[in-house]
Amino acid sequence: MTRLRPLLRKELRSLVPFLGLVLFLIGLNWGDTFLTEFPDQHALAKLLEHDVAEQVLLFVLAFALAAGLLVRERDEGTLAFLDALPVSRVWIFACKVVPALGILWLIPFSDLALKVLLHYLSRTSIETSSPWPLFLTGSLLDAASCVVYFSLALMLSFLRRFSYLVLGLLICAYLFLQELQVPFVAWFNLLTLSDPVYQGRHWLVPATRLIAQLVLAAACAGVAFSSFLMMGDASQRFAEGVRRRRGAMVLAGLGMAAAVVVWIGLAVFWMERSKPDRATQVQYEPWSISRANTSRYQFIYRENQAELVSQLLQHADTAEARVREFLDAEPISSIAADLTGSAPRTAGIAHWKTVQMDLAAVGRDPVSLVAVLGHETTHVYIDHESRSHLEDDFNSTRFFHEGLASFVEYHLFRPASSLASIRRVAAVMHARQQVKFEELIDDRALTEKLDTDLVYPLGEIFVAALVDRYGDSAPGKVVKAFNRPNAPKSLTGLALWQDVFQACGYNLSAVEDGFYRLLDQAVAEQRRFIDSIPRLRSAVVSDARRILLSYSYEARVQGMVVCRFRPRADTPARLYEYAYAEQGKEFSVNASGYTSPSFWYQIGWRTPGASQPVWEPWVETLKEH
Amino acid sequence: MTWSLLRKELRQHWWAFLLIAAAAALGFLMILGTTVTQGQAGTPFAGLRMFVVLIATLSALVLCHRLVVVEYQAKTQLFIEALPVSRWQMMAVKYFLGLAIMMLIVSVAFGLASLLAWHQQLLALRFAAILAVRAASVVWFIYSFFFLMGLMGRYRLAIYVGLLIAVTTLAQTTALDLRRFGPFALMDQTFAYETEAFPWEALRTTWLLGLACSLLAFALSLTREGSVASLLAEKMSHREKVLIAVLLLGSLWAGSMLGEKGKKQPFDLRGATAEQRDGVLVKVASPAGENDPEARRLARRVASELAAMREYLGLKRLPTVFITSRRDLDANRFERGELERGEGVHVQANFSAKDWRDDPFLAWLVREVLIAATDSRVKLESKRWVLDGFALFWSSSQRAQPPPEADKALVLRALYGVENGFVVQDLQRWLSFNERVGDDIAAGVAWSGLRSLARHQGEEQCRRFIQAVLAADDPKDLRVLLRPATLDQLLRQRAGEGLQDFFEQWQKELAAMRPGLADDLAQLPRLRGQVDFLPLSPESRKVRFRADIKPLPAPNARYSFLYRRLPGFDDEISPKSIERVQDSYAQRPEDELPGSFSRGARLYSTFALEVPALGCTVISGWRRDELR
Repeated sequence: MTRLRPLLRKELRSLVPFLGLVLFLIGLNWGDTFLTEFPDQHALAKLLEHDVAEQVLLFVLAFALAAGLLVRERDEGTLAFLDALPVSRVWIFACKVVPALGILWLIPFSDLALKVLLHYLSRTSIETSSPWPLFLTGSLLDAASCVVYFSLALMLSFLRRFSYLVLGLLICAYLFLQELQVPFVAWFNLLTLSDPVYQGRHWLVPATRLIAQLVLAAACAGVAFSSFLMMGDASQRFAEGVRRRRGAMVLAGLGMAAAVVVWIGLAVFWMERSKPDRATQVQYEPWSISRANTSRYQFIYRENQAELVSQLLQHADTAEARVREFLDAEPISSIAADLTGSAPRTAGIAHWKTVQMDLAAVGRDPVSLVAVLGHETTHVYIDHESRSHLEDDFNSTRFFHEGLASFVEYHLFRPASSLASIRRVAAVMHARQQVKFEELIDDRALTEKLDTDLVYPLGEIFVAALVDRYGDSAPGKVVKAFNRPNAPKSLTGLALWQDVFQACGYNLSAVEDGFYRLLDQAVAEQRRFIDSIPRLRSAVVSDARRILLSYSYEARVQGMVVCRFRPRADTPARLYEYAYAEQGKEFSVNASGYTSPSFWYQIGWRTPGASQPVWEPWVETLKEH
Repeated sequence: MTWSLLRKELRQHWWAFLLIAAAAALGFLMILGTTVTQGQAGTPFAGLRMFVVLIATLSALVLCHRLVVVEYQAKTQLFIEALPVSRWQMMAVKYFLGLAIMMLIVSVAFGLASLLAWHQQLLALRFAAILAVRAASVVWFIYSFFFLMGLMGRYRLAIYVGLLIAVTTLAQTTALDLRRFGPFALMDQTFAYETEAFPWEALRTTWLLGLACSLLAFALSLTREGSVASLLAEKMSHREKVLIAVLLLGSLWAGSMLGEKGKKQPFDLRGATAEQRDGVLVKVASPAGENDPEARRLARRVASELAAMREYLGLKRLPTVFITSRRDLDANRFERGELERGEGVHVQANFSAKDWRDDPFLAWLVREVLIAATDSRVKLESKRWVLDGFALFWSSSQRAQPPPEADKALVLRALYGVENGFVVQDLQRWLSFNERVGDDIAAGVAWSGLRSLARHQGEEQCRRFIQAVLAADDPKDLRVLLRPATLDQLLRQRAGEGLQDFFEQWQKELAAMRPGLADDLAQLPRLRGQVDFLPLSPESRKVRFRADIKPLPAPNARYSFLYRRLPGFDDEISPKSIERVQDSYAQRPEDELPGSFSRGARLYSTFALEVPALGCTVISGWRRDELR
């Protein structure tokens, strides 16, 4: 051990700058807590909050720490001196890695100390059990994350600057596989290991995910260790030799091409696998693409829909003019309208000066076609008039974006009688006491709790309240206020809306008052419909392979039960898995996509009288252990 | 000679170029695959944007490191300088070779994306030109920037960090909107969709930045025959490291300080009736407009009450109070909205309702204003009973001639609240006591305590005690820990009696009042209830509850079952997050909650009943259960 002391001292000396940085960050955190807040008034919810930003910081620190830890000795030519010491490379590796990891662990464990201290100072009488095990579990999981980040970074460090590129590729690969919904890929989401899942008062450790990540960490550390053992003049000479050989260039080129081909093959394989029905299908040649121009639009569409499109062409410019006049907007010279398809489970979607529509999803009714075009054109004009500022904090503005487009669709383009179909959804939710304005302006909260599509009916009512209170010109004025000169930056949520309304000379509270009044009115008008919608009850059974969900209800109206699943509360809506009843009243999905200790499901009621399904709140369910 | 230099670079870095190209190709394929699978963007050019932002940036970083940093760190450029070739030629070969590789990579990606888009969208020449110019300009800027940074040698990491801090600070403190500036604007969400307009302003800025980076890079590499770049490539001394660290930390600190300065206009209510008193401003907005007499009356009343309270507590000023109307609220329900710190207290109430009464609103508002005025300090558990009691104590003391009925209801609340046990420790464990008896009853108990104190120790002593608890000027930092004053100490110092004496006196007073109100108390309903968790499957449960109310205040009484799901720890619950099922006791004493629950979930629940004799709601006591 005495032989290691000088080596350890040398390593610790070289780690001093990082130690300084880590201590500075810890000091900043402690200082911020003890110098700007009441240290004896910290709620437990705040202390147990999972913050992805902290994980990103840990990852960056681990990456920076590991970047030069092993390879610097080779790059700076000091490896030969170390080899001359009477210690093996194994001990050198240990003397480098252990103190570095120790420095990294200072962050989660100082955080643990801070939380324990703050909780000790802030504890209240309603806590019947100590939350310290929760703090400890969270910190141990953070420490495990440090090991994973550090091992991965150690392995990549041998690639020198190429490690950044490889890391970028790994992120791309993860996102790609996640989109393809490849089973078990979620095990390798490194930033979510310490996401809390509770069973009663216990934090359920994500055992399979933890094991998978620790195995990955062991593999990465193994590669790094082997590389460190081989590192030196001999390996350098070998690499140089390989590089100088003529055949090496060809081999390397072929290797690169093979890597690309393998990835294409994998992508095709998973795309094929992810298709719901892999039975032989009859393939038809797609119809050719045709184009048509009006004064305001440039359309492309499939030739087989020419007749339907011609009906739309007749009304397109009028629709655009109505939207533009309603918003008092400057005309856009040309809007690209792609009628060949839209995003999954949407009839239309809009981007900058572009709309996309799925004619099959809209149907053959010309009124609906024009209404959807009007809806999407409204989005285009909202973006254009606000110069996309409305999307700066989309989490709090999405309801207005969709609400205004829905208002235009139902008030300007559809018959008055159809307004009931969208208002019914809002009425049911309000009657069930599920509508909260603070959730409406927090799209993530609304999506996690209820339904991301509720922004359509609730947003429509909000805009209707705005128009009721301040007139037809109000929505356009609000949109423009987002792009006013000297508008404060970085405002979010309620503060943003209060500022925008204030800039227009409006009172947000007055519109909120009108919003709830219209909801009450909708409940009164739709009482029969509301009473006819059954409350659904569900029961879940899961094993290692399948998740089965059965449901029951008292049917009072024509309709059907729909069901969807998600692995986590923050899973994007496009990755929800929609289940179909296989036998009687039972839905079923494959369990392999659900790797956390819990999963989420939601059941809803689809009825022809409502514009969209009425969903029960999401339910988090623990998997059987 | 240029050709020889080119061959030297290719021979030296061919494998690195190959690796970068392969990595870029892989990256582009995966990004394209992600874009297509997502199906949200509708065009492969959205993938191209992501590719430029992520992969091209990383490729440029690696490429410049290979071409510049490695060369200067190994000092191999000295060999080339010995050759009959000018220094600028050497740099130009490096610069243009790297740029050509970057452009080639992006061109291939652009070509592939165009090929995919060809049959899907309108790919006019102008659109393609706009896309190409935007992508190429950004790539040129990124490459030039990293080329310049490569020549910064040992200072480049410090410059990266410094630039990050400077840009962030600039974005926070000036009108500069980074998302709409130069290269960032070129890569914004319009990238894949803008078919007509060239973003000339952003292009000009990007070109200027690219040109500046390129010129600086060449200037640096040629200054003093390249010795500056050579010196920069050497390792940093310890002093330099310390100086750089101090400068960076200093700028980080300055940046965070400057970043605190917001530019938002303070919140205001348009078209509201305003009423001002010394240190108090109240604004009431009514749907009927600025001249609504009801709003004017309410503003006056609230301003007068708050001004008197401010004086009573010795506070310098109170936060501005904004009151707005929300007509769907019950007349006795009020809601506090969010306002940024220091902007005031924003509340919603249905003050135009027929059954509106000022007193309950004022009692509630006084509490909220005190919470805002003290930055929630008065919500500390040891202070909480005084806060809860003070709201009622203040509103009842402001009545010129208190109606006996109102005071009777408060006394009844107090007697009702303590009948199942009330000990001196409950004052320190006020949140638990509150969960046992409910907010309104707990407030009644606390009110009786303050009234007892005032009666026995005198109004002034009582005021001094309340001031010490609710208007203490506690510093919002760790100094607050250095001055812990217990309730006993405060009572002794300000009211002249210890906690135990005060509590005994208070309980005696309550006990003395009990016989006179025994009949009224006997008629008050006592709530109990049972909550069962019934299995629907091994993982799912349903919740069934059964209320037990004796005596029933009215045959048609409706009770509520209040509940919410709990996380895995015990914290104070916001009243706004609580859900409610309301039933007629006669018809449905037993019911089930809608929906299903998971095994292992936790439920916070109680039964509640509105009792007119008390003017408030009574509960059976909050429970925190785990669904097993």
